[in-house]
Amino acid sequence: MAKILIIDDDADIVEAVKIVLESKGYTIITANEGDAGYKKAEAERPDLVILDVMMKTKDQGFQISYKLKNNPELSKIPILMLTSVGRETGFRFNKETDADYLPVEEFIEKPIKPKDLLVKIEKLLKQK
Amino acid sequence: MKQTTNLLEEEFLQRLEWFIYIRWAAIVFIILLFLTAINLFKVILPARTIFLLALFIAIYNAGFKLYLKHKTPSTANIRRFAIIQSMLDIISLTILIHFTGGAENPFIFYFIFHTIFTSMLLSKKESYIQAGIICFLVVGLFIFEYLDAMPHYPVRGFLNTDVYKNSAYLTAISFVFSSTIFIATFFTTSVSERLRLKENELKEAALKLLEKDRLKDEYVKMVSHDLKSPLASIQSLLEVILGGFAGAADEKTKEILQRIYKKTEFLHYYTKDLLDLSRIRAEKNLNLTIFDIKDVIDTAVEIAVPKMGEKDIKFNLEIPDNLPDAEADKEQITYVFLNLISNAFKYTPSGGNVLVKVSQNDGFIITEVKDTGIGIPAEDMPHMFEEFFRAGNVTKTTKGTGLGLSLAKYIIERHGGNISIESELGKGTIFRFTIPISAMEMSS
Repeated sequence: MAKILIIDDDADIVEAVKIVLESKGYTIITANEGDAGYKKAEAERPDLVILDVMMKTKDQGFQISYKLKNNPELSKIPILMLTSVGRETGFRFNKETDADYLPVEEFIEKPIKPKDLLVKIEKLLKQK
Repeated sequence: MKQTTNLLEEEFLQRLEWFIYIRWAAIVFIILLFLTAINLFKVILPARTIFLLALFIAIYNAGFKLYLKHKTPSTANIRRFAIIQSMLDIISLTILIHFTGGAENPFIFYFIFHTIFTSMLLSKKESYIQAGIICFLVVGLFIFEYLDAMPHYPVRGFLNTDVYKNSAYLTAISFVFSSTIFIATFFTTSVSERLRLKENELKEAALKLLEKDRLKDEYVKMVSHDLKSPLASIQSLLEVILGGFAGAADEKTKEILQRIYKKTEFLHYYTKDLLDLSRIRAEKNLNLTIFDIKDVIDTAVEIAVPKMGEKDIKFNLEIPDNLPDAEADKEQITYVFLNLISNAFKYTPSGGNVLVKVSQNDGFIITEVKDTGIGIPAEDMPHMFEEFFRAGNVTKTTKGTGLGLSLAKYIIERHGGNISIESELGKGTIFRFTIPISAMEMSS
C-alpha cells in the first residue's frame, strides 16, 4: 500500500488526516514542520506528500514544494497542498491557474472532508 | 503640541484661484465705474491711463492664471506668489486712486476688501505689514498731492471743490482710513486664525479616525485568522468521527456531534466573512484584469448551488452573447456574485426561482440578481448595506453574519459602480449592480 507523508504543524489536522488514511490501509509518516518534512521525504521516499502552507513562516509550504520539485530524485512525488483559504471566498487556489507558479498537483481545503481527501489521493496515486 | 496656523497647501491654491476670479471682476468694475463717471457725472478723467492700468492688471492676472495652470508651486513659492499678487494689487489700486482724484475719491475705502481677502490668506504678521504698506502708500499719496510734489487729477463734475488741499479733511480721512484698515486686519486675522485652528483640529481628528479604522481592520483580520485555524482542526476531527473513521459512535453521540459541527460551521463562515471584509478593505489597490463576466458567474453558481441543500430552486441566467469584457478585480467581483447568488438561494423557499440577468449600458455591465424569496421589510431596506445588519425577518431562520452585503457594496463602489435593492416582502428581491466595461472594449 502507498506510503504518504503528512507535513503540517497542526497536530490535530495531522491526526485527522492520519486516521482517515490509515483506515484505508495507507502507511503514514508525519512531520510537524517543513524542513523536517523535507528530510523525511528524502529519507523515506513517500508515494505522496500532503503539505500545509503556513507553518514556521507564512509560505513555508510553498518553499518546501519548490524544494521537493527541484530535487530530481523527489520531483516525481505528487504533492497535495492543504490550504485554509476558503474556496467560498473566491480567493482560492486553483490547479488550472496556479499550477504555473505553484508546483503542486492538487489542493485540498481545511476543514478536511474525508471523502474529498480520499478521492483526491486515489486520483493522484493513480496518475503517478 | 504646537498647532500650525498655516493654511494647507491645496486650500491656499484654491483661494489664490479665487483671487484671480475676483480680479477679473474688479477689472470689469473699474471699467463700468469709469464709464459711469464720465457719462453720468461728466467727470474728466485720464481715460488712456486708466485703461492702460486695467490692461496691466488683466495682463498680470492672466499671467498668474497661466502659471497656476501649468505649474503647481511649492509651499514656499505659494506664499511668495500670494504676496506678489497682493503687492501688485495694492500698487495698481493706489495708482488708480491717484489718477481718479486721490483723497477725493471715495473708492479709497475699497482697500478694505483687499485687506480682508488677503488677510484670510496671509499670516498675521504679513497681514499687518500689508496694512502698513497700504496706509503708507495712500496717506503718502495724499501728502504728495497736497504738497504739489505730485500732480492732482480732480474729479470735476462729481466734486467741485479742491478737498485735496484741505489739511483738516486730509488728517481726518487719513486717520479714519488707516484705523479702518488696521481694524479690518485685526478682525479678519483673528477670525481666520481661529478657523484655521479648528480646521486643523478637525483634519487631525479625521486622520486619527482613519488610522483607528485601519487598526480595527488589522485587528479583525488577525483575530479572525487566528480563529480560523483551530476551527478548521475541530471541524476536520469532527468529520473523522462523523465519517466513522475513528470507530462506530452511537446514534445519540452522532446527533450531538452533528450539532457541534453545525455550530462550528457557522463560526467558520463567520470568521471567513470577517477575514474577507478586513482583507478586501486593507487592499490598497484593485488588481484590475479584463475578464468575461460569464466565467465569474459560472464560478459563483458552482460554489453556491451545493449550499442550497435539499431545496428545489430553479436557476436561470440571461446573458447576451456579445457582452463586452469587464475590467475589474476578478476575485472581488467573484465575491460579489457569489454573495448575491448565495443569498438568493438562501432566502428563497423550495419551488422558487433565481434569475441572474446581465445587460450593458453606458460603459457599465449591469447585473440583476432576482429571487422569489422572502423579501426585505421596508423599514430594513435603508440598512441592508450596513455592516452586521440583518433584516428582521431572517435573523432567526437563516444563519448569516450581516457582512456580505456591506462588503459587496464596498467592492462595487470601489470599482466606480453602484448597487441597489428592490424588494417586496414575501414576494422577492432584486439586487442590481454595475461593473465597469474594459476600456479596450469601449474604444473598439
